Amino acid sequence: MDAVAILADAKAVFELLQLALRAKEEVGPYLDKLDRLLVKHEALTPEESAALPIERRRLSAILQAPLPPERP
Amino acid sequence: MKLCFLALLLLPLLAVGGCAPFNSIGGAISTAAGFSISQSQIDIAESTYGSLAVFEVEYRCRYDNSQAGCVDPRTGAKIQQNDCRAGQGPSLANGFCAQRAVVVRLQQSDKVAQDALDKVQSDFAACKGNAADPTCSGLVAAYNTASTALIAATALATQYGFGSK
Repeated sequence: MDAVAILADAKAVFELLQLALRAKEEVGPYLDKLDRLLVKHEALTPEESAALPIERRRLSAILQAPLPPERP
Repeated sequence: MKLCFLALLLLPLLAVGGCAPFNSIGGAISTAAGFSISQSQIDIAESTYGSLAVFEVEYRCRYDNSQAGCVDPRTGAKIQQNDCRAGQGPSLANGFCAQRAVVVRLQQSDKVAQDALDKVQSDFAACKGNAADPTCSGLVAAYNTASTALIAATALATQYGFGSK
């Protein structure tokens, strides 16, 4: 394996670690719920269930806000 | 790698979309289509889509960070815009080069997914209280529509490689 290939592998591993860390930090609350639902087969409380659509709509409101005009 | 992560996200969607019998947590409704639907399944769809939406929002904020919610959840700092305007070029430090056309496609797929999830939840609630339609024919249609919408949204996110830095 030449130096370029080794560096490329190292970069790939680093990126994977970065992504895993980001996923844990940013979507942790959702993943925790998925773990409880799928792995532990626990039901969410009614309050937790009710909170999910609220968070989904909050994120959607940011995404759906009108975009500024096309920039040059 | 990012595809691996998104594939992990997709698994529960496929579990929902695959119409496989689930458990009876949360009071599952047995449908005429031969499978049951429970509040837990709807929660899985909500949770999984929420995971995806975090990255969709980040992409939008990379293009236009004027929204108050365009903040990095780890630091609370404003997400850096990186729209690759002519003469400025993309900044490697700011991550990927966001494109308006992609944001528009994300908005479209998000709208379909949001409407579909809301329809499933409302039909589920209506079905539980409707003795005249114990097999919940409307819910099955809403459920299948939502499964399709969520898988499509995930595929779009995969195509544009969310989560990459």
